[in-house]
Amino acid sequence: MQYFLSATLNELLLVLDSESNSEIIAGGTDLVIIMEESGKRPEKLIDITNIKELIGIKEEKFGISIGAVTTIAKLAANNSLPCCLRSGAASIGSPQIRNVGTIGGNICNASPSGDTLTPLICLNADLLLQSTKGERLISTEQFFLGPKKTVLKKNEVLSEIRIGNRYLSGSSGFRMIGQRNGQVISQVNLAVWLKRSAESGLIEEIRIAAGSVAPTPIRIIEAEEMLCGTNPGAKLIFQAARSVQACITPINDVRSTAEYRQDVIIGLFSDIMSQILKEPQSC
Amino acid sequence: MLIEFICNGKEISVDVLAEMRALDLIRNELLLTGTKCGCSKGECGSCTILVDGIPECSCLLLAPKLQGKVITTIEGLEGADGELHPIQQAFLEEGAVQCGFCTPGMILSTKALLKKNPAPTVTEIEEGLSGNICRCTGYTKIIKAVQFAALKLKGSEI
Ligand SMILES: Cc1cc2nc3c(=O)[nH]c(=O)nc-3n(C[C@H](O)[C@H](O)[C@H](O)COP(=O)(O)OP(=O)(O)OC[C@H]3O[C@@H](n4cnc5c(N)ncnc54)[C@H](O)[C@@H]3O)c2cc1C
Ligand code: FES
Ligand code: FES
Repeated sequence: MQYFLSATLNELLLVLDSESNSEIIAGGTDLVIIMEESGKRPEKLIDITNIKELIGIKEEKFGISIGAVTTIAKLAANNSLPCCLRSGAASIGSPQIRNVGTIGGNICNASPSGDTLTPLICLNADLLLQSTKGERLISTEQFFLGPKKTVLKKNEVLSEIRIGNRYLSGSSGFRMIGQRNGQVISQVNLAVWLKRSAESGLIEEIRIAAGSVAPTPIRIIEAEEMLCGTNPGAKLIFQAARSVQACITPINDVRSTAEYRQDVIIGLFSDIMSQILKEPQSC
Repeated sequence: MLIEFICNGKEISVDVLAEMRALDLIRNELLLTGTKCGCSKGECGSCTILVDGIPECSCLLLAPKLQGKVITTIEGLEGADGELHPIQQAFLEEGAVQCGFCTPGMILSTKALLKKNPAPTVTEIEEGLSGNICRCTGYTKIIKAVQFAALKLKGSEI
């Protein structure tokens, strides 16, 4: 196996195009374990962590741009990011994992339990995919095809994550349940973003996403529709939580049973909603 | 491939295989066996080293990633005359060490924590050390040791 430290985005795109049996490595917190467990090695590993263009969080006209190689620790510590994304990032692994793991790696690894995925879906974030052939912008919701499967082509890199101004302006929250408090991989995670009308206080738009309950993180449109246009009290929130529960097809896996996931989602949802509605600024 | 980095203040230039983990390089080539291998999965923190001052799991780090970096292993904390670092001294005095397997990682995570936050609360200590598992002590004495180390290091460069 060869190891190539790419210095610029241009150089990376050229290498991705010319080497068919190559694989990108960012922090390596997912990939190194996969390589160790499977014993498989690509011909070439292309390290993208020295590419400065892909690192950092910037304010732009459209909203906020996050470089794909920005570490999870940097996301968790950045106050200009919405609450749900910061909390999702803060819940990942341990300090050692967050210092090294990247948002791009979390997305491209496409685990159903990835803790930045539901926040990005409910913030309606777009992903910028680049190759020598050009670039395309795809919504996070459309990016995942199944566990470890995405629409990313072999010669493409995820370079940037974009969150629009509208979604920076609402309020949001994230909750997860895991097995252990230190470095948990979530058994269920839930993110909610909503915007209330300045005049009436009614919910003008709401997006709800759940992770670890289906092969890809999913949106729960039914519950969104129940809550949109309302100023929900405890009863309606509970009804919406029941519809979140009804929409998911949780999986039995190594982390927990489907039944447990079904139960826990009601509590998580009610918790997030009361945080957003009662203390929208707290995070 | 040839990589060059600084380990515990010493310049190192070494030929490695691309798939070699930093943990194996440190233990088997540099013979610095204070860095432990507990799980090889990023879960236990016994392999923690500081890379440019930041705690990372050396079991998840491929050796080529060390190129151009400054790393510290537990051996690098020793003073010029071989005396213990104040954090090590604090762990010793508080009895925060039983079998000792987790201790190098705990101490390096403590060093990084105290550099960022010289007077952490108990919750901040728990969070700072949450990537390091101890099977012996029950953590109470480790937390005390970190508080004691913070006291010892008050006002000094960490
Ligand atoms: C102990 C431990 C605990 C963990 N806990 C959690 C947790 O609680 N929640 C959670 O969500 N995750 C968790 N993880 C998983 C992992 O740390 C995260 O998914 C992390 O964000 C991955 O980022 P990385 O940079 O290390 O990815 P890498 O391992 O470098 O890459 C992962 C995959 O993505 C591809 N890739 C990476 N970047 C790009 C890019 N820009 N463009 C195209 N392809 C790319 C790689 O080719 C590879 O296939 C944990 C991991 C460990 C070891
Ligand atoms: S050996 Fe690296 S974290 Fe356990
Ligand atoms: S002292 Fe034995 S594992 Fe911590």
